[in-house]
Amino acid sequence: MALAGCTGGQDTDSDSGGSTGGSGPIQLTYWHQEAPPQRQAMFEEFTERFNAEHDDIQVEVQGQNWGSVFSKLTSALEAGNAPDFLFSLPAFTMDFQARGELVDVTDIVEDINSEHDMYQSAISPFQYQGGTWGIPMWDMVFLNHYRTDTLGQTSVWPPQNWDEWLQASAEVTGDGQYGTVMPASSTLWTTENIYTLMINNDSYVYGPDGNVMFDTPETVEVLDFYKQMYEQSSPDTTSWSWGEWETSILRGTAHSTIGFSSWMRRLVDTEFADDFSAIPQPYPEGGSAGSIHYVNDVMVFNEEKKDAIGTFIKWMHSEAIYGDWLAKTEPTLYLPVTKTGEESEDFWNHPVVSQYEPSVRAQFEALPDARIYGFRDIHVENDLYIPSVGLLESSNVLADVVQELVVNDRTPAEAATWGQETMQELLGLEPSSSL
Amino acid sequence: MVGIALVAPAILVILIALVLPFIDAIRASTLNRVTGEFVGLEHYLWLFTDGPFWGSLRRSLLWTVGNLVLQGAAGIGVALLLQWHFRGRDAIRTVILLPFVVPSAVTAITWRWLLNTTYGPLNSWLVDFGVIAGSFNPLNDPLTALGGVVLINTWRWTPLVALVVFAVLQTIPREEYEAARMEGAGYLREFWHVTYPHLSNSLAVLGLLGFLLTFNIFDLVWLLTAGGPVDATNTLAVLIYDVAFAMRNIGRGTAISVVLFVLLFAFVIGYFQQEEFKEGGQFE
Repeated sequence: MALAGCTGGQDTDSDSGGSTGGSGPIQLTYWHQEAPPQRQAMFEEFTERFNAEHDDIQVEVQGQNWGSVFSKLTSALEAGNAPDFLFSLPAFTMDFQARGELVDVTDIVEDINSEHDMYQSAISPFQYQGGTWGIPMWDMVFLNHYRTDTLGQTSVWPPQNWDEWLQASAEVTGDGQYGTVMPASSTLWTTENIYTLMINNDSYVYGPDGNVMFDTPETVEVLDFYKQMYEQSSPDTTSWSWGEWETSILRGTAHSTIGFSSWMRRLVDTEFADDFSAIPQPYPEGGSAGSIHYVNDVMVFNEEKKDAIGTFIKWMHSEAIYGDWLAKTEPTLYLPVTKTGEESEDFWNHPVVSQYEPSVRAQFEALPDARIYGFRDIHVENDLYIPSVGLLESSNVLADVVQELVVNDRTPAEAATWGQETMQELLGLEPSSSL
Repeated sequence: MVGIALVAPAILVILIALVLPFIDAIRASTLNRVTGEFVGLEHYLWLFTDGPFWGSLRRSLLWTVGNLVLQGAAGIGVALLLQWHFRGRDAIRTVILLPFVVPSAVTAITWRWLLNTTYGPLNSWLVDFGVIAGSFNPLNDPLTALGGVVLINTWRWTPLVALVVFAVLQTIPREEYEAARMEGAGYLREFWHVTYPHLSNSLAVLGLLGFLLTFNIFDLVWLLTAGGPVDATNTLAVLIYDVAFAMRNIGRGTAISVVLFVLLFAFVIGYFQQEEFKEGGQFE
């Protein structure tokens, strides 16, 4: 009964969430899922600025949240009242592209690229099936953020490999203090952490043929390391989400984290404001530099209003707006995906970005090596199209592997096998021929 | 005719808000929602053979029965305590309602903070006072997580049970207690022979409503544990959300919803077979 309301609606062609122009301005509606209040306020503020400068296009912003947007969007598309465009992520974008819901935005991306020099690493996750299905808006990358006054003072910092990283973390763990935060909850946060380590050890979910290639010696090594590193982390992380993660850092009980820098905005108000820095992810000998990143994009549903949507997006990317918008919305976390943005004075002059400039610059340095599931080198080289990445991400199956590892105390080999079998069934794929 | 005309609006609302969506849900449960392809009973076959249905059903029953037993016992106990006259009784009667009026999200956030072993106060107090040797969060352990959420939900709903029971207790004639004491009845026999007979009707209704409401509770479980760790708290309500929205399989999720509805409907029919609800019974 609970789902009946979500499955209702007619199968109409996708229409606009706003009205067509007629004699008045073109009305646009967009959704975003940035729940924190200050992010919502900035989306509203900049949208209002656009509206004030454009009599012919009026834009309405509607804030959603990631937990409910899939069902809401699915229902809205079925009912024919989907937003005109929506802020998204690579896997989410591919999911709706596979359903035939998206408009090709190659022309908009090319226009922005030619004017502002957009980074190819930001565009690649949206180029497949002969089109470009998302307009990159900002990037976010994992780094190893650490306490300079504790971890930074250990005998093996900065660590040159996983053994040294483990050793350094163990040196500061004890008496309710933890060298790191290693998540073990069934959440995207855990998925991102385990996948970052998989990147570092050349471990994959998908093989070069697009089938599941998870149960490999490399994955077993990752899980083995994860289980050891988990010993340096609060045991509570089996039920933590983003809020508890940030709180543990800001309260000083966790001395490092591999993750985004969203908490830095609040760090300035704590006693540890001057005690954090960041380094690229340590990787094992024989492994690879890199970490996970998420290019946030705009996906477009309304072909009829594409020109107006392009006007709004290009305005957001303009020199006078882009850097200012990103820095104000979430300083240090939202990274520009164009050279114009990276060189923006408004971006670098933001007080929080300025205070933590070395960490932000380290993020830019990490971006060329940043990857995401389904879009690794072996996938891009083979021109693979893997629409199941959406389900991989939303199901948290990688996080469930971690839960099997630390909660059910499976051995790394058992957890890898469990993950392989579970992913095959969940994603409807075969074991990779490369296994 | 007048009677039919008077109930017609209500019937219309039920048709529109319940019956039609349910019929559509049955239709949706026979489809692959991505392709629109008709798959017949494939989702139901998955549910009863390969799927997690039986585990989630068992957890739902444990969750529901555990809540009802604890809430009933605690609610009656609190109501009986409030029968006594003591200083501040009226204020306490108001304060105990607070858990019930606090939104689920606030309840979940608060308890997650209280139980947090890293920076939560409860563990540090218990360790400092020597009650426990080391920090422990029941929500992290698959053996205790379900019990943990049951206790938190009990904390939340006991005030309502206590309030209903307390109201009934006010209607019991004093003379019956006096007569029982004159007969030499102790406190327990007083409760069994005087108090309980007056409570039984209310408890029957509370039991039915409590079962239906508790079985379907999603928000608190999801906010506390998201069905984990490792599915330890994955009740049917949580499973529906997980399958439909995390696994993005609305067809299967709807199938679980339909089965859940049928189960609860069968429970209601069975419940009304009790003597109290039959002709000549207390509720005739």
